[in-house]
Amino acid sequence: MKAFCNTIAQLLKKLPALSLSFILAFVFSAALACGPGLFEDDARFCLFRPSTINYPQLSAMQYSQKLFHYFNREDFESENTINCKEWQQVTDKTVSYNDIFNLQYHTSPDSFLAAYQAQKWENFNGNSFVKWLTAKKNRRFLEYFATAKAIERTQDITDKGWGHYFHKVETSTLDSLKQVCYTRYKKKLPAFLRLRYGFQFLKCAYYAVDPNDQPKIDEVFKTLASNSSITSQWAYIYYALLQQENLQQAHYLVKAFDICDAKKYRAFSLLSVATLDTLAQTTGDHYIRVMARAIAAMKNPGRSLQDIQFVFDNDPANKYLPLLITREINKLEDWLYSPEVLYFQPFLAENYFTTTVDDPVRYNFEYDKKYLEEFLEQLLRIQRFKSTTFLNIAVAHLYNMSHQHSSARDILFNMEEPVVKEERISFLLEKLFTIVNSKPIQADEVKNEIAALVEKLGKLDDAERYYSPYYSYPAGGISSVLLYLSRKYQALGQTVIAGLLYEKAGIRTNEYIYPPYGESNFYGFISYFEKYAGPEDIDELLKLKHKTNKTPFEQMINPAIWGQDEIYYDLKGTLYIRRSDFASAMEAFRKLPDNFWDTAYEFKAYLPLTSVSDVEQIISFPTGNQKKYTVASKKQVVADVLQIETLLQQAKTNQQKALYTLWLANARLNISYFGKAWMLYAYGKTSNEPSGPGDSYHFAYYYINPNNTNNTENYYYLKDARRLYEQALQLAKGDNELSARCLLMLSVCDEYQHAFDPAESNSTSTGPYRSPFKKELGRLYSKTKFFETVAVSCPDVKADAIGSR
Amino acid sequence: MDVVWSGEKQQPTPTAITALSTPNPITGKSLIPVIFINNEVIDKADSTQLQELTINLLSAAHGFMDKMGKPLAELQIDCDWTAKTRDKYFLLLQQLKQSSPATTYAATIRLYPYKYERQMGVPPVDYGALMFYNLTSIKNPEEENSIFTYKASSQYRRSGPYPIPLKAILPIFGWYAWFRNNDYKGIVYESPDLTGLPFCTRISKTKFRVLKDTVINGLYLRNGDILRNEFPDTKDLSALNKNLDNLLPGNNEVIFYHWNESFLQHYSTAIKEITGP
Repeated sequence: MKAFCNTIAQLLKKLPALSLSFILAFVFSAALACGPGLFEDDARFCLFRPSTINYPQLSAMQYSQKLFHYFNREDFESENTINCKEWQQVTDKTVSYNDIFNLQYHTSPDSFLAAYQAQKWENFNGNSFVKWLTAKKNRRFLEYFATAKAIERTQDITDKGWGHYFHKVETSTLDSLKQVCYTRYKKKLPAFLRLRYGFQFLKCAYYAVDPNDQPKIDEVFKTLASNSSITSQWAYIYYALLQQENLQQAHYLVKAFDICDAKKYRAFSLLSVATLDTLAQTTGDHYIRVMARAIAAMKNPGRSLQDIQFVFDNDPANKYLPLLITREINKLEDWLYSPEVLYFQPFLAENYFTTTVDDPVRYNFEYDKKYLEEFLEQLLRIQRFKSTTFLNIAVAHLYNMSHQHSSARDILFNMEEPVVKEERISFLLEKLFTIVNSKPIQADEVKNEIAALVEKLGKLDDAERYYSPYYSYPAGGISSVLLYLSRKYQALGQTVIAGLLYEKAGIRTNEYIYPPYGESNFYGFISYFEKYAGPEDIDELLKLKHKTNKTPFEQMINPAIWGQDEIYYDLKGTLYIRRSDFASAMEAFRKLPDNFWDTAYEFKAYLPLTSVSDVEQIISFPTGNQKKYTVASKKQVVADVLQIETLLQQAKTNQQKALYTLWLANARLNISYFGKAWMLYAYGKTSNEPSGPGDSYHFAYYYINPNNTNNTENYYYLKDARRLYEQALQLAKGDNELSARCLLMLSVCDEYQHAFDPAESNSTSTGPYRSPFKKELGRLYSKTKFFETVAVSCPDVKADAIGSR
Repeated sequence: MDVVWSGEKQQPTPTAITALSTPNPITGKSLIPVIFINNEVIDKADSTQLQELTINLLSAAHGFMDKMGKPLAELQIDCDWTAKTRDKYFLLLQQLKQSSPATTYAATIRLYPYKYERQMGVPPVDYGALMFYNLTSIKNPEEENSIFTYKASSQYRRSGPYPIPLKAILPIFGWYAWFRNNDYKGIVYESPDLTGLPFCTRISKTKFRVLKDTVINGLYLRNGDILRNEFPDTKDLSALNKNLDNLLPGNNEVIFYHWNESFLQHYSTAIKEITGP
């Protein structure tokens, strides 16, 4: 009884959300105790792939809910690479690129300068670049390199201790180096060196500011800006930073962004939206105005149609339009699809017809749909100007999003399949998306069409990159389409196909579903089906598993790893238990060996060995039929329930009926969230149940999906248990001892039923809910032996029963 | 400055280094440098790295104070240590003291370790700076104010004095917790009162509802979003102040966090009340 009291007290208090999850198949990392830490883009659905064919440097500017999109620096040539290649060119390619890179970027200034000053290069033996530099004819290049390292040393504090962070850069040294650089820039040196000295001068001028340098700065910049070396790109950034006036600085940063591929990211990060807006409004330079609007649009997480229109109207061939268009499409996908497909926010589908247009979710959805139409119109206008592969696919995508699938189909099916791989992938993905939306996906020929496209996509070299959401999430692509397809099949009730597609997509959604990652991963094989399937679906699943001549579509959805048949039969039986169909559950469990639950998953720890009719763990009083199970086994528990049902059917007297009904009620209570046999019904347990999808960050928590096959009214709200306790109490009239037992269990059930009531759990003024049946127990049956025993072991019940609390 | 763990270099790394302007804006006042150490640093650093960290921390502190033209009289370490990292963190603090014994050392202490000292230990420093802010979960839509309420701080009462002297750090900062359909979206940094701004309307004492889609500081707020004002209520600060003598007997100094001109203006009356004439 004390255990019961403590259990009730714990359940009825509003505890911090500590998870009691026993689920082991934990593919995604999550902080269970405090809720998962999602990155913003994890909750974003994306189908349309960014186009980065010509400008991989623009990856950082793709739409993201983070400040910058994830990007891989190895996708484009960095400034370091360009610099080293230019040096290599100067050496007539007689020097190894790696040697140049190491000396330039992995050699500390101190070690190089020490060797230079002593003219002792033993430590650099084996470095072909040092060998080249130290050749007599290359003296001037060596001299430059030493100067560059000396400048680098003024900013290198890694060996000087953390205190050095607070000390100014050694400006006196920089001043003299600045003069040296300018002097040599003016000399008759090879162009390569002059440009580099010029750049170093600008750099020194930035760190060692002297207003008198301005004419020299302008002069040097003019020379550097007009050449094609990497020094030009560096010069742009430094020249911009050297501008005293904010808008002037922005002016040059905008130019740097446009001209300097290797410095796009740097320039982008230095520009603020406010400054860009002011620059666009005040500049008389048409080019700068357009660029400022374009860059501002790249920084805008909201609607950018006006900026896109402006850019197009003023520069129809602007090279950033594809980026801006892609961003806008990705935003619309985020606004319109993310909730519906990923379930991370309360989604509209369930309550579309019950909410008014004033409801923010509905309001925003309608607003975004309207924006989609406006944007499509604009894109068609752009497409009429110049039809490109990218634009055609983009238009088709927007047609699909606005459910004009035949228009999308017309565009795509009249296009030649592109030759360029990235365009080809986009084209095939869009075709797949179109088919999913415009054809009957249940038809065999359509399924095979889908399979053919997926296979084609799979063969493209970097399809895996777009297949896996973890490489560069969410980059769009096939994973997203497969998840989208999964949702479509689920809406048609095709649970097996939906589940296998869901696993294949491998995208995290706001559900406690984890695809299997290995043969030993029990729960992964059934996590989707546990949520959505009925017993009949499991039959279909097994049939597919064992089918030998699978169609192309079936091959496509066929998992790489299947679970053992027993795992699916266990689920089938469990799904029958959820329907309160114990006879059918038994049929399913008969296919499993008796010791299955003793060795599989975590069943042994959480299936009872004492009869399910016994609630001694709650009321510390012997109850039920006192049966003991020989091993942890769903089969034995179900057999026990069936036997009690038979006894009830055969019972002759009310007293017998009352007793067996009480046992059945106990069994139903035990096979619930609150009982000792909860693992007959569920595969995990948390303290956040039964919130279900629709709450934020729910996916880390296990819950029973209240779909058509799952009777959560019994698992969380004890509907049948309550009914049976009331029946038992009625039948037990005249037998005070038995009535007392029934009434106490009814009060227990009653209090459990309030455990998930938000009104109760939020109430701080009245304390936890106390069942009025306890008072009735005290009023009617305080003289029974049963009550006396209970009163001793649980003073709280006694106190409630006699009204002393 | 902050110290974080560099996964790439597998060592503690300084970051968020205070940029100092010249001339020194804080003349005629004493200064105490504060260094925040991410708990992950303590967790992952081995004993050699802890030794190096000791040296680097002192180097940073001295470098900072040299720059300010003042001696290093005191150093405060800010670290949210856990039961797991307790021993290593305390060892670091001891090493600091041993390396520079003339310096006074302080460590920030959250209310949880303040209450549960047996589990969390008492940092071996000259005094603790008790942080009365960031007390509850910002993500909870039902929360009144995750930075500070008097009620939340009251849950950490302890019986008996804390083993080392303490100074209270009171919050004079705030932000807006941003929600969409009860989903926490992030923090919006705005001025303490959004009343009168066209994009939102007040719906309760602490909450504003966004009326139209608006971009603020790169964040896309949408119609229906809720912004929960988390600037601590001055009445709550006053209530805490009145009880400080009970909570921290013998304490005659209060620390405010943090320095921001507009926050100082907003809380000027409360500050004057707390610091007295």
